[in-house]
Amino acid sequence: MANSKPPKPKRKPAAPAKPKSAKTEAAPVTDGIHPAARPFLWVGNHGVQRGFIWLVGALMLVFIGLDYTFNRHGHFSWEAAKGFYAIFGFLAFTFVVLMGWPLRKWTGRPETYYGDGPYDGADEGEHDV
Amino acid sequence: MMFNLLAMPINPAFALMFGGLLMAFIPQWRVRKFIALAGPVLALWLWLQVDVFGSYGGIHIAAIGLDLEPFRFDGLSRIWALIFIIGAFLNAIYALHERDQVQDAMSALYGGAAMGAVFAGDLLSLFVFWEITAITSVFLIWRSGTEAARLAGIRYLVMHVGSGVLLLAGAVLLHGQTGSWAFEHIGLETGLAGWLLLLGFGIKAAFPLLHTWLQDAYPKATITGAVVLSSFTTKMAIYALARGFAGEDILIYVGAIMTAFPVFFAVIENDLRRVLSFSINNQLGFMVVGIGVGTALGINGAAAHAFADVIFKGLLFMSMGAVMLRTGTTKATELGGLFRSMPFTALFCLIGAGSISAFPFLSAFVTKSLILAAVADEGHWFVWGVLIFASAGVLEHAGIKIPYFAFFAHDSGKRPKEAPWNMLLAMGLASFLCVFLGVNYGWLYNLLPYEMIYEPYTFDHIVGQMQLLLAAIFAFALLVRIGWYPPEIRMTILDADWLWRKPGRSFLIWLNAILDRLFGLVHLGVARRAQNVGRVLTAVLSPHGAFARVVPRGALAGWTATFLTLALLTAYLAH
Amino acid sequence: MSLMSAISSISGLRDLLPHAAALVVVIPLLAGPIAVILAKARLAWLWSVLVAAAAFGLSLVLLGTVLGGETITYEMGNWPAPLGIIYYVDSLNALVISLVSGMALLALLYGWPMVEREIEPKKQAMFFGTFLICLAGLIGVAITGDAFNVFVFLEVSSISTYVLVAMGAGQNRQALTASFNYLILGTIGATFFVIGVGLLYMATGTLNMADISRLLADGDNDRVVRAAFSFIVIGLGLKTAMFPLHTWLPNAYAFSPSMIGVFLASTATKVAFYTLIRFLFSVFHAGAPFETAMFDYVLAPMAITAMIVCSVQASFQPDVRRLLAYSSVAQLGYMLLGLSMGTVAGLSAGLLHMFNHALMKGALFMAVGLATLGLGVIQVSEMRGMGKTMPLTAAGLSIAGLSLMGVPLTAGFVSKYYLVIAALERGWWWAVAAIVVSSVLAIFYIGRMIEAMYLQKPPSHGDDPVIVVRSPILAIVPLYILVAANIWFFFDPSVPKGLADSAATLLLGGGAP
Repeated sequence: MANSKPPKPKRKPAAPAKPKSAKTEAAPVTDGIHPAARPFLWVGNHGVQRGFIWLVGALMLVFIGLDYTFNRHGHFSWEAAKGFYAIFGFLAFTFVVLMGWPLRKWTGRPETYYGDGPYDGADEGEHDV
Repeated sequence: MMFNLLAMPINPAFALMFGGLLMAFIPQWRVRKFIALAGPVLALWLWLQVDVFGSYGGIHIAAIGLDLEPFRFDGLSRIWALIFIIGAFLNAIYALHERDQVQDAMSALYGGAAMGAVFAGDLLSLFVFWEITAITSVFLIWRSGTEAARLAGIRYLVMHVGSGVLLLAGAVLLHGQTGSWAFEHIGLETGLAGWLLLLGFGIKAAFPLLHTWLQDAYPKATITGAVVLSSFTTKMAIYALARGFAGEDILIYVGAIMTAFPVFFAVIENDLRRVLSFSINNQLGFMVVGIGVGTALGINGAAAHAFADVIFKGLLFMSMGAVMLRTGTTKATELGGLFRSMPFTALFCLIGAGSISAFPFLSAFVTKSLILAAVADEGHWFVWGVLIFASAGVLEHAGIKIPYFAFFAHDSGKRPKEAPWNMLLAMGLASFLCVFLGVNYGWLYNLLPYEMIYEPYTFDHIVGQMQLLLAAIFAFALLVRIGWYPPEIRMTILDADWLWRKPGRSFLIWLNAILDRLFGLVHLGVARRAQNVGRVLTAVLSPHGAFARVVPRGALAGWTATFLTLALLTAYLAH
Repeated sequence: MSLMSAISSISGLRDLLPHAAALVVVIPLLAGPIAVILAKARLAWLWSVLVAAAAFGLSLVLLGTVLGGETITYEMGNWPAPLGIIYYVDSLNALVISLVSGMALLALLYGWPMVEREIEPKKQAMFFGTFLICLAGLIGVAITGDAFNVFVFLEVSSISTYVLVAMGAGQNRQALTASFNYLILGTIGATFFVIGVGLLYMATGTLNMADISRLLADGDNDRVVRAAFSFIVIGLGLKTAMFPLHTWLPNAYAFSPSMIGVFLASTATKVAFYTLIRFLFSVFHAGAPFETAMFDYVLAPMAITAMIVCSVQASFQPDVRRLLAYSSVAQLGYMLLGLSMGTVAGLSAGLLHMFNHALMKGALFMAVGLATLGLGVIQVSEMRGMGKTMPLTAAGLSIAGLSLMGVPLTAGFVSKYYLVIAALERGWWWAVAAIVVSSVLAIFYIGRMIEAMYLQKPPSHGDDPVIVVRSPILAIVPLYILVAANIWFFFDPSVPKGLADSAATLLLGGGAP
């Protein structure tokens, strides 16, 4: 469980080998790719990114399943409900994201709204892109 | 005398501040960078020298008959000082590539002042350091050199100096009540004094509606400036709250609001450094709740979380700074797919994102749970629910949005160079600390102000947390897949500061115009009437009475006469 | 402590100079016409510097004697007190006299490059002569123990001031109207004052202040005395620029020659303030009901109003010198507030603030004068980039400005601190609030200048500023003496604080409030 922080290494089994090789073969001529990133270019593959949801979904089910192996001693009674955290997390997250639509409608303004001028692109950095 | 001085513990804050002062006068950047690194190391050494809690090196200021207590070393100040030392060191490494004398000096002075505030045993020393942090830190905003940064810096300065003034006013009132300047538990039962101090602290802690300076100024700061800013000011305010207002119920609710509201704004914010600013707000909320609960567990939680936050929030700001350095922007709309050319930055950013989201074996997992347990212990079920909700929200904006839109998502086609070695080193060290704290949590727990027994790695805790995180990530993937996730758009998202930046400003302009006219009329009216009285009086009273008539502003003379009448009446009517 | 012992050691000279109390007035008074006779501007200036230095030296002798715990009573022409005029020096006016003569010396040193530029060559010798007369008048007001003599010296100083202000006409014709307004109101003030003194003479039959005080101690409910009291308070209030009688001040400060702006801002209103204190506390009795009523219902509310309204006005002034002038009126509010508390702590804080304010305003006006000389600065917006183009001046201005805000490590903090403490002792919470509000406003209007100087870019060509000005060293030195004093008196305020304390204790009858 220790390496669950960056999901990267774990995606490997879920990803079919095919896109990886296809991508890496096309890559050598591409400019600007960091050598350390070459083995991981498959992460940017469209199919992998689409397939990511299944991996997460499966892992989520596993952890919900683990709830049935023991009785939670929470502070509150509802914590003991099986899958409580998963349901709460899913609903909370969805609510937050969907609230983004109306919120943007109410509070969104053009970038120049305050008339301060743009603030990124400060005269720092190399911007060698 | 000299030996006595050495035998006595020396305030580590002075090491940083002294270094900062030196750097202000040293044009050679190599020397400056050496001092910037040596300052925190020396501070750490001084910190290690103190083995007994107590207050050292009190100063008696004869000028105003006052005893200052600049170095109070106890359980609470010890841990905060340590994290400021670590923060200053990491920031110094991160800034090694930079050649800006002003920022070098100001960063060190700022960090030293924040540490000085933490060690201050009396409210006046606290005030002095409090204001120094405001004045030094604003340069980190101004140095980015844009007009927007200049204006935001001024707004920032106004609020922060104002916060210090409130602090001073509260301190003076408190002194009036208790006759002491000591900075101990204050509480709101002290009435107006307590409220003023709470408000002063609250501005720096970015309480709701007082928070706008943070989202306004931090994204406009320089690359290294934003990292430095994220380390000190707000954490210093959290310390002050923990010292002065532990156990104030109102803080539980204030904190809960702080955790929840930024979550919504962060979803639609396009500028990733601004997203991180919202995330600061959200994390501060957790700490404020812990302080509001006020139990040993709650205060410990706040302290531990502040400790972890300086590292992981700094790490996230560092990674965004690296992106900014290489691409010139942190707007999500302009970025994407950067992991191809900046893989290490991406990795470190993911570790930071995992830490802030409280994945097991990363730092926030062992610190945030202290606060949640403290809240649950006291039976605040609703607030507990809000915090769990906010935890899912943290994952949304800091855990997923930051790395996803910068390094993954659709390929922007940008292939910038990897970050410079010193940035990678700083990020690497911070990442290491995130993991280290997540695993060796006992080390951190031993530094906390109060004794406690708490075990974060229980089976049900890990399972519950993983469920929460995975379900939230699943929701993210699902929403993106079905196209319900709001796409990033370049725009300004309004916040509470709209109130004074738009209608407030227009109102002032309008008021000024109206008052101008009004005063003009009143002046004429009063002048005409007073002129008549005045003529008579001055003609009678003054040998120069004749002058009064030819003076274009004879009204002034009348005014004087009116005032004399008032004085005469007062004198006659007095008993 | 070192400063105190240094000054105390001067007191030994007093045996050599038994007539110091008289000389300190007489020397500048006689030297004035001589300066005019010298005709050559440079000579007249050197002469004035010498005279001011002598006056300053003499006032230090007096100060040293007073610090030694004595008070000096000097009988003019050996005529004894009730009949003759006496000069009287105690801790209260020793401070004022030293301040006036010290500031005169600094203003003169600073003034040469300014005068050279601002005054017509023909009038320069006259200018210095008038200045010396003005100095003699101000010192005379402070030192004399005779009520009518106060009036005489008040007029001597005022009339010469009108002339000096009007000499600003070479730069800006508005100086003439400013001077004229000042003349009208100043004369009204003086008239009110002399009417008050006349009424007092009617009631007591004497003009000696100590005598009047003794006679008033018995029957103070007399209507005549009350009328005299009101006339004197309003007359001196006008000279002090007490709100709302301050309208003459902003223009007089703004349009006078730079050197006069410096001198007036740091001394003229201070001397009037001193006279007000002298009359309120040592001629009249602080415990009298009409006096308490005046404190509570007139002086304190006006002080508070001044602190806030004039600070707001200062914030809106585009013209730098008018900004500083309005700030002066606001700061006078602080002093009046301290006075109107009627307690030892309050009065002492007011006096200390008077001293400190002279230091900071003197420095501020000096720096602004230099900016005008170097860059033609008249408006705040024109100060942009001064941190680059005139670094020394800008730094001096900023430090003095910080002192005005009351930032720790500057003298301004000390006096504001004592003022707050005194207000708290008196239970005047609203006064503390007003001090805080006014300080915030001070941050704002001083901040405007600092922002313009350091954050805005100077008018530049490419990367280099168009001009970098080297200010005349002769003017920079006095500026930095004052700036250093602003910092020095934070760390060692023992001399002004000690004098203010002993003066306040003396005036309020030695007892606790």
